[in-house]
Amino acid sequence: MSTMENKRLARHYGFRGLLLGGFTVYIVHLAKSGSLQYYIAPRMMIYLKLAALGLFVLAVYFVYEALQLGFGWKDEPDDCDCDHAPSRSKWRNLVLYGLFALPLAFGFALPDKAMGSDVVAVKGMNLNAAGAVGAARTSPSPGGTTQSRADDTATNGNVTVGQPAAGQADNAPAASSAASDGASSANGADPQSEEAKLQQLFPYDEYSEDFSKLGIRLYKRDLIRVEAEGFLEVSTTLSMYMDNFQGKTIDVSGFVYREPDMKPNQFIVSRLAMTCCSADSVPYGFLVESPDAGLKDDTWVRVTGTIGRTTYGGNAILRITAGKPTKIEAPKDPYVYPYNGDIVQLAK
Amino acid sequence: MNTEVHERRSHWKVNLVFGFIFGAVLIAFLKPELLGNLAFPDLSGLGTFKTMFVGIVLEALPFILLSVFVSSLMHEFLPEGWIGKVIPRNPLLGIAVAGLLGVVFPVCECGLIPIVRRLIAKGMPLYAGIVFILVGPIVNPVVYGATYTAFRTRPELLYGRMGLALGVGLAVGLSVYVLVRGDQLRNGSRGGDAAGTNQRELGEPVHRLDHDRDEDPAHRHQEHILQHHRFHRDQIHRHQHRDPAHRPNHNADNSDNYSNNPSHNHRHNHSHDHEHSHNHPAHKRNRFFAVLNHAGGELYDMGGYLIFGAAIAAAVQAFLPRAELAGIGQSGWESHLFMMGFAFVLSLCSTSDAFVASSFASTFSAGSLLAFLVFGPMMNLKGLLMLLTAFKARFVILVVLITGAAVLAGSLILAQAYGL
Repeated sequence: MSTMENKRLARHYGFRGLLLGGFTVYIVHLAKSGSLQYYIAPRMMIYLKLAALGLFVLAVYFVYEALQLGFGWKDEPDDCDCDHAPSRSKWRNLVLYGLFALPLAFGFALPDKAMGSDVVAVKGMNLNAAGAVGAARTSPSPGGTTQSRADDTATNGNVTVGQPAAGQADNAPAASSAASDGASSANGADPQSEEAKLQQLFPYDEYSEDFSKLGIRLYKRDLIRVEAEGFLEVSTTLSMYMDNFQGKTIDVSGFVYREPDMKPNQFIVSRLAMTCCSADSVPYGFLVESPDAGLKDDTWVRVTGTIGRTTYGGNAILRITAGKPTKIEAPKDPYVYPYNGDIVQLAK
Repeated sequence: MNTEVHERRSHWKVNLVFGFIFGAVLIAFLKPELLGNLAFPDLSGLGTFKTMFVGIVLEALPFILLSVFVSSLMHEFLPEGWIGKVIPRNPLLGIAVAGLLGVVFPVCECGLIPIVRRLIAKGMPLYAGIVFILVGPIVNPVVYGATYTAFRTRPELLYGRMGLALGVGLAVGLSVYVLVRGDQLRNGSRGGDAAGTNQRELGEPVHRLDHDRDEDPAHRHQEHILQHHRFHRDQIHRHQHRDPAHRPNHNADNSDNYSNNPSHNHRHNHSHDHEHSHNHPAHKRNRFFAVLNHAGGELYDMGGYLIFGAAIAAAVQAFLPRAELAGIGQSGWESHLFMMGFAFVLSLCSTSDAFVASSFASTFSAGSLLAFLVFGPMMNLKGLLMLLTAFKARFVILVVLITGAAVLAGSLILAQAYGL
């Protein structure tokens, strides 16, 4: 084995080892400083930490190999003698190592920052979570699924109390079991009829039953708190059965965001929902009308107000009429995540 | 020697240029004012870009790493021709099995491509491999669960996604089976292999040495390597050069090596296709290092493309306002086409794209969301770049076209039939 060739390989392996080591250091740094959550969702973190371990092993191997070859401790490069040998084209190598260095350069050079208004401005705000999770198509589908009925009532909000939803009959047994579920907390003298009334207020089909149950539980409260856990699901329920919640008091926290065409007394209290990584984050929020709306974008606030309804951009959305919003500290974890458990339990 | 002097000089230049660019990049980010106002006028956009870019890279990292390790282990330990026994010979059955492989091996496309590349080299039929790459990222329990959570109240999108993915996989698999002949792996060749089992190493060009077949099993590894290199000089062999367009120096280097510089033969940047039997107990340690070496090499092969794709996807995410995109078309085939293109540039993981799709549910028709959900995991920027490292460009283009047509047609038909 020629020494020059070994030296060339040693340089490549050294470079590769250093870059992979850099990734390991970067991941550990992010995990230690608590900034990892700005980039990936908590449930993905364990995989990334394992990956850091794998990268570390590879980095050590590459550096070890580079030292052995570079100092002539051995003659033959230790490999499978098959492929993936570093290219001889300098441009190819330059581009390749440059690409690997790029995330590290960005990672260490720019500050770790929670996504906020600037991201929302690019991605576009969602003010009707039901359009997202439970998506309601206003035109009935020719396929004639029962679901379109439930969706229609939810979206248009035209359902009047006492008018049974068309799909109701099929669901009667399920409905009564759902009713007994919440019966303990109901104060009504006649729980049976009370629950039946609620059922009509919260029509559902076989797929939106959980949202209906959650809605009924929320409906029994005077103050509805929208917590970070289950933010998406509670928002969805509130939007699906928007009209039922008119006049209730809502308590929600988030950062301030404004669209350019908003009135001066309006702002949006917003959260970003992340599934796996920052790239798939989606902003959700509630429109707030408040006499004291002059807060700067990205200020974290807690808003307590009355639920109403309005139209924005041609869509019916929920509106919160509030007093003065309270400024709060930005939470340690600024994002919300899809809830994987039983969503009915969100109304604990 | 001539080549060595030349080589040393060129590497000095490489290091110098690399150092310079790296330094400039660092300065640009640490002290942007030094470069004046023209360099990066909008730093807030750059911050968003960083968050997206690092997020995509970090999220893909575990999967690509797992994949190169699995691929390397298969390379080292899996007997040749094994996969050929697992996948049925009947193409329809083969496609069906390949389409459902994701159920037992739920990995997204950045994790699948290195593995499938290896499987095809180990004897998996091309059409089955392609179906696995296309359908595997969608039809698996993880994505099923994520899509269910994102569209709890709209199961037609969940079932539509799974069904359409299988349908498109069938269409592409059959098309490939009928239309494509010969080896489509880049830098590989299975054409000359009459027996059908191929013993070729992947990713790099091939030096097929016919003596390998009847090699004495007791052959010692080390001896073999030496012998192999001798064969290299002496035997008549055919070699194919890896993508000459990308490696302008390659041919020159090679001929140099062979004619003038025999001592240079051991390492050149292509592989030797030989089946030196790896089954020597005495070399366990070597095999462990071989796996590391292989995995590291493959990581650098694939990772570059992944990071490049991630950078473009992040740029799209950070600088392209979606509200304006949403105005383009909300129903009809234009919206289907638009959502497919959108899925292509966003390059999201199949486990998370359902949630992004759900945020468009109020502005786009369900049919176009279906196109988004099926086309995105099959074809996207970072996946396409990785496909191009594994397969010949013409073949990749063919697959992209068939997949696009099948998704568009399929999603339109489903939209028509079920009123999505």
